[in-house]
Amino acid sequence: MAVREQRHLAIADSDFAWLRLAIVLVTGMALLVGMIRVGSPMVWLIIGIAAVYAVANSFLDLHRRFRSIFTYRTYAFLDLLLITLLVYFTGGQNSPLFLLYGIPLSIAVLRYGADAGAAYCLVTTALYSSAVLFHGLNGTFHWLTQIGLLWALYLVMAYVYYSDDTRQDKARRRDELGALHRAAAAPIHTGDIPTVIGNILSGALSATNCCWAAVYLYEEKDDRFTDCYSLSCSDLDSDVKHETPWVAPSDILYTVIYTNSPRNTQDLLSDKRFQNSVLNNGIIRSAVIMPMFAPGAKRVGVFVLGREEPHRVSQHELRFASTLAVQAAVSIHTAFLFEEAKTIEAAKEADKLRSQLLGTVSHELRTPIAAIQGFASSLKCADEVEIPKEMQQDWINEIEQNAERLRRLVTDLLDLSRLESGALRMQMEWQDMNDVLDELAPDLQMIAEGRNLVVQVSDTLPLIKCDAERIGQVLRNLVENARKFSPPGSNIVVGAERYENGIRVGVLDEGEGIPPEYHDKIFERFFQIEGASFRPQKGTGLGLAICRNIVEAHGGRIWVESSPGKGSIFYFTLPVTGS
Amino acid sequence: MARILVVEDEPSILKLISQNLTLRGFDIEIATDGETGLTRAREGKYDLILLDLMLPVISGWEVLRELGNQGILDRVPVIVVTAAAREEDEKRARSLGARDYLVKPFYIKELLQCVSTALSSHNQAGRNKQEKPSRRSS
Repeated sequence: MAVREQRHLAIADSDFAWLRLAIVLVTGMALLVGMIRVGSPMVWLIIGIAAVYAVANSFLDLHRRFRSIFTYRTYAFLDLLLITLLVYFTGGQNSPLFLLYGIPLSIAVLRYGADAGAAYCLVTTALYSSAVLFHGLNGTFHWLTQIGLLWALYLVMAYVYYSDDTRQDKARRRDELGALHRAAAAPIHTGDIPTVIGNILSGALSATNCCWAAVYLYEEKDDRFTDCYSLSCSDLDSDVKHETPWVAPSDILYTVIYTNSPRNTQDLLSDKRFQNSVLNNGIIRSAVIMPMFAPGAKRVGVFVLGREEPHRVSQHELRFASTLAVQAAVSIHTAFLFEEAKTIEAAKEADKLRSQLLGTVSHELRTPIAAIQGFASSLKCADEVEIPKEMQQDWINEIEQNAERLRRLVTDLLDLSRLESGALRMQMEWQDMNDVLDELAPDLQMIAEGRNLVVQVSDTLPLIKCDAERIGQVLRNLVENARKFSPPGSNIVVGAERYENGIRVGVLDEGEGIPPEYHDKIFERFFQIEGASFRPQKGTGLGLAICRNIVEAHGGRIWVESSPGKGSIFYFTLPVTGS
Repeated sequence: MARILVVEDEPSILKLISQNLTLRGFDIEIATDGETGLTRAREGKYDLILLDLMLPVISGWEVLRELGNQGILDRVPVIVVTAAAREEDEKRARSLGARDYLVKPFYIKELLQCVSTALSSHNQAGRNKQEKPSRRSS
């Protein structure tokens, strides 16, 4: 009896269980309506057995747990036996329960194909005939008529089955096309390699009856398998990227890669080639392994489709797997190229930023040098044109101031580059912020020149771990900034307070404030507010960038709260433990 | 004596240029941002404009373009004085109509040279213009 397994099923397992339950229900109905008058205890016993039997194999899922004993063939025979007994006890050839034979017959044909249906019909004929013969020939209908009806039903069902088979072929082709489409389109929507491979794998599983699909990526340079991606039909939503197992050089995966030819096995447990293979993973029994090549004969890896049970791979399945592998290779290759292009793009962008910065730095350096060179060369012209004494003195002062500005610019640039590269390490020590502020106060007072500096501290500050020298630099920068942007005579308040898991230090000014759209940008180096009515004259344009780097190196955060016309408060936080 | 407008926001450079030119007898007016510079150039009568490119409010580029659009460049030559040292900046400034391009830092002699060249060629051009109608009338 050639039972067809692994077809695309017209009826799913669960439907099968429900149909089986239907047998019991119809039996029950028929008995209630017509047969109750028979009243034999034997009938009730059989009904009881039928109910227990059907409920058991419908809901307890016996056929999954005891697959070896409870094959579908066993069930089929049990069904037939049960119906035959019912027919016998309810009137033999006159029994309307004869119609029940139609249900298992339909199931047999639809689920296992016309061959199975024919076998079912033969067994039914034999059982029914013997039941009728034992019961005695006394009915209105001839038993041969009944059997004729049964075979007629079989012919109808077989016809349905074969037309259904064509339909399933179409469905399968549609699934396969869908899988190919998904594999081809995967890199269009996302360049992310795990997602691309995930799409290919889930497409492969949905188009075949395979329960496990995998891609092993191969690195030609090192001659080894670098990454493993797999997907199992029992857990379609799980992550496809897996820890890559070590693939032994004798593994069949290498054979496939080196020979550029597919391999398949009916049962890998009994196949020597698979003895030490990573595919012998306890999940699959049969497998198809396809090599994957990208344009230029570049070895990309291998593509594996596996099943939980032993299986002879058909020509069609091989063809489909190989087509899918070709498409998968191209898609994965595309995704790799895309990723590479992105890296190059990022490097280019960094290059552009660097040259932009160089341009800005050169511009910033040129201005003080221009003043120094200009005034110095002007002083040298004293013999051509008369320069008043005070003017000469003023020019010398200008030269000095600009030299100082140049010195600061160079120092700041160096600081910033060391901070950004991480070369400047913070000297972390436990500090009381009150002491730090006390110590800094005279210095800050001087920087705040012309403004009224107020230092406020709180008694309940926790000790924090920080580099007092660098925090002093941050505060000096912030106070200097506050002075530059606020009118003479206004207040500048510096204060510290407990905040979250550390402290927060604020520097408040009563200046013109900063429009909200610049609150982030002002911490970028050389940023100047566009269209500002004036430009701070002595700044290097690096102060706030340095502050941010120092604070972040402490694991803190710096930000500004401000609105135009209302002054600004610059805050920075320092966690107790440091970074 | 020639009237010169200096548009420059760096106080040191502004002082450097204006004081040196005043000492040499030029009549100097100053503007410290692009917008004021543009207004002055439009309203005043100048023989020469010295223009920085990095200016607050409106950039020097914008000022230069506006001066060109409003036809002021035809009457008054502009010397760009800037720290933008790239060649493409100079090309762009010249294509926008700048007469000369002086990169900071510079020696004061270079500036004076630029100024006198611009003024003399401007005067030359002015005289040529005046001569044309007289020739036609004769």
